[in-house]
Amino acid sequence: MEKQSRRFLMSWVLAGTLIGSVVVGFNVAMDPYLVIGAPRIVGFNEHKPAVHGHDRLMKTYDVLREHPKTLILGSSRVELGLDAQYPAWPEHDRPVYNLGVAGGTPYIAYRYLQHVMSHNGVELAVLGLDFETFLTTKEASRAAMPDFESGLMVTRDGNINTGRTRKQIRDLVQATISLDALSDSTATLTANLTRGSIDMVAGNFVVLDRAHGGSYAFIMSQELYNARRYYGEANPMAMEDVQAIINLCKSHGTHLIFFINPVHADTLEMMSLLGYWPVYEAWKRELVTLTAKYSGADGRSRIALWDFSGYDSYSTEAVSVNHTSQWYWDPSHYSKIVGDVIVRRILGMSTPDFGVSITPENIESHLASIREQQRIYREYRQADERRVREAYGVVIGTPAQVAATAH
Amino acid sequence: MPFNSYEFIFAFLPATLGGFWLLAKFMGRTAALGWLILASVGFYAYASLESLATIAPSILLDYLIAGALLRTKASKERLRSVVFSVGVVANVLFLSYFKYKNFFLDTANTVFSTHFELAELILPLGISFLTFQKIAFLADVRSGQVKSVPFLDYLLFTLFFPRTVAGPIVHYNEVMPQLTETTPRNFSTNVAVGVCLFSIGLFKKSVVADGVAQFVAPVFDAAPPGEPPTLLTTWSGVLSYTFQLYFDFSGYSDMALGVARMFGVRLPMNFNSPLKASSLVEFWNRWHITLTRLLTAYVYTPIVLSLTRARIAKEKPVLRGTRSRFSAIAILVAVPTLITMTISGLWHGAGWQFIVWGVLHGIYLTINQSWRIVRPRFWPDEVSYERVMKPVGFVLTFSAVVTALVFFRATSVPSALSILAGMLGLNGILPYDMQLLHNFGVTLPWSMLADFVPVTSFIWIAILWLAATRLPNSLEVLRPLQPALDFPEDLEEAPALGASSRFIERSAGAKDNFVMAKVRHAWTVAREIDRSGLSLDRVTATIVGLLWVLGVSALNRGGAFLYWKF
Repeated sequence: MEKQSRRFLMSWVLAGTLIGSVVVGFNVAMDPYLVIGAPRIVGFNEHKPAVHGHDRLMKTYDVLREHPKTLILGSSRVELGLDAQYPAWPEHDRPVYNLGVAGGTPYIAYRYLQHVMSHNGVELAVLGLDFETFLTTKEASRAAMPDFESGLMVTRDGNINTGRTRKQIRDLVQATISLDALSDSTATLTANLTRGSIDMVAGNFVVLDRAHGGSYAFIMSQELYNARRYYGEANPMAMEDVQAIINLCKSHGTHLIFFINPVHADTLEMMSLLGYWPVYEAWKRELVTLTAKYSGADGRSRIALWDFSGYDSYSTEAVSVNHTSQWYWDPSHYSKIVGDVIVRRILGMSTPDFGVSITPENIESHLASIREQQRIYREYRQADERRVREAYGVVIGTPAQVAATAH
Repeated sequence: MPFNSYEFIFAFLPATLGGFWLLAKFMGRTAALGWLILASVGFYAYASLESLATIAPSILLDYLIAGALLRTKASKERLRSVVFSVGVVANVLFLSYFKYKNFFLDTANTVFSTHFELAELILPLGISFLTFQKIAFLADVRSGQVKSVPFLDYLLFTLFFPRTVAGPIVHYNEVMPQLTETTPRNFSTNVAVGVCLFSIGLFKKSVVADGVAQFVAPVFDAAPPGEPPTLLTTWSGVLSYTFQLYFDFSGYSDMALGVARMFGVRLPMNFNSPLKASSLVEFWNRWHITLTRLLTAYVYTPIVLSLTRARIAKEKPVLRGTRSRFSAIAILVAVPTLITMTISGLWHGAGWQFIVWGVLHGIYLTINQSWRIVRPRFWPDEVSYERVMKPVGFVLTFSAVVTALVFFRATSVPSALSILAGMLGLNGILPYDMQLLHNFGVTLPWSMLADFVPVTSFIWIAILWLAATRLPNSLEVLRPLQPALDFPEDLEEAPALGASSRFIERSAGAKDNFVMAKVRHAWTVAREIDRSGLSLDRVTATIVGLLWVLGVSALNRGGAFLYWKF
């Protein structure tokens, strides 16, 4: 019995080692999370479908390999909309890398900026701002991100992150000997063989599947989701993070362009229905005050603030059954076409009918003009306005009810 | 440190095991056992030094009480009872202080509008199991089954790390002789069998239980305001939890048995395919068996005995098979069952939802047992009864267990009731957002259905249901290797795969392509394993190696064992 058992144990070790090696080898070759940095081969592992759900992990590693001079920062709106490989980006500011991540807050943008700056110089930082991330939301909670932060080059106060090696080992384990990696590697191989998959290039979230875009039901379900996300009061911590980003760029001589992301008119209407319009305007005023304090203060870096929100021809795109939308994936994510216009505009190459550079001088007239657009929209698009009101009324109730359940 | 952690699998276990067998070989048994005590203390201290400091005095106190019991002569029965009672009460008080103080104070605050402060207490790791284990030990000493307890043996018995935190709960005489008689002669066999059990358990825990866990929390933990739980969503969450709990705890038990076996100790079985049960009585004989055994021996039976004696003394009717009177059943079946299961509920957790869970099972068992007593009067034909009631009982038992589990998992009683309402379809069938959209006149394309309906979870549930009710369990496939104490080498039931093999056999006449031939070959192997169990050969080594690799590769999910919080 003992002899047989010893033989069994040896076979077990052998079988385990063999199976384990196959798993690790496959995962390393497919490199679904870009942790390894394996060469990307067309038709084999070029596309990385795992970016959906792993964008923070992947970009933390990938961005350092690209040595970008320009960083695009922000949430999924930026991640989906702004193209880091768009030809309009000036030659001297390339490579450009899109560090926008799903649920990205100003804090995440700040931490990412630190991460890259401690590795290589950054000439230009472009940061898309979302009103929701300045409210007290779960996403805004800094404490909930130890897994993200432990992977960065530096700690919050700018010192070398000594815990990074530990996290790198963990990531390496997760990317090589984990069941999740095995399943994502399989998905990566399948996606590359069938050649229809989302991907990530230069940090861009590359969407190949347009099946969802323009689906009325999908848009409506996203609206329900967005409606639930609005709660809480203005979060001063987010504004402090913007301040920290400004300080960081100042000290590194990095040019900084803030822009307020455009959203579909439905989202603006919902915001207004929930009683957030005054808060929204106050938020813009605060941003103007903050950036104005620093722009032109010294010659080393420029700071600009753009607003792309409002009731324009993009954001009032009709939402209808079986309609393939051009400008918006859903009520809060604009398409690359809109993103390209944004890039041209903030780089000073586009006509001034979309996007306004806001300053203390023009902020009030700008806000008044959006209110006027809103009035006109409601007058001429009563059906849309009613649809939104009914939808949010059912999900959220009246603003008073919302306030009661907020905390 | 949990069994499903890198440090346990790759550092602690190999080091402890290697040290143990080397010491046993070269320096003798005492050194090896000393090493095992040290490792066990380290195991517990690594998880929580505070917990160790908290439980250490109670462990010592129990040793003193056991000593006092052993020294008191058998003739002084009264004194022995007093000493034993002191021991039990001390243990219960100790547990109550840490586990139930806040619950009692909170309840008092609600009922009597008092204002007791609820101080945060650290619940020592595995205190519920330790307490029951210690009480069982004292009972063994009192009944005379344990004749002498050397201090180091006692320490090893109490702290033996494979089963300290979450059982199985064992008798002193089941484990200690094995530990003290262990020899390096069977080293390879013990380790080999242990590896088999451990790998199966690890797979169950980290691949299956942690895999299905993702569907549980959204239903139980985060019911967003204004989004009532609906039928499909709740069933997905509740059934997922049923299988999560089963594979989590039975996976843990397999791992505990496996680790103990590596040290030459066979522990009693804790699970025996409970979801195959066709009655509640059978379910409890298959689920957490060592707890059922303990509660039956030390709570249920004493209550039944004393109530029966009292009724005989007052010349009231007692249980007499089919002729039992209603009052006898009410007092001698319902009362002890309800008390026992309520204690079991409270033992699992300090909250009303656990009490409701216990009472529900008490009611189930009462109905089940009363029916067993009176059934022959209404349905005397055993054969026809079995034929009809076995499948019906299976469905009833499963439903009853699942319903009760809603309370077991819910964060509170109201939350459990709201989930049950969802399961009954009171909030509609489709997920809430789909209903809303439907009300707006929006019809969803089929391709989007998966965004709302938990399709993936139902696939998991279907597969796990088949695995839990149709496949032989870990102990059955390993039975030639005697994986658990007293586990029979012969199956009581027909092989699980026997009945459903007709399909494959029938297809033998079909065109025999390569795939079909492979499938049939695999099926033959599976049936062979089902019929005679695994032996330590190359096929087993490959299967176990695969399970081990998959188990280890899911470790990064790192879900804690559900029973480690009790």
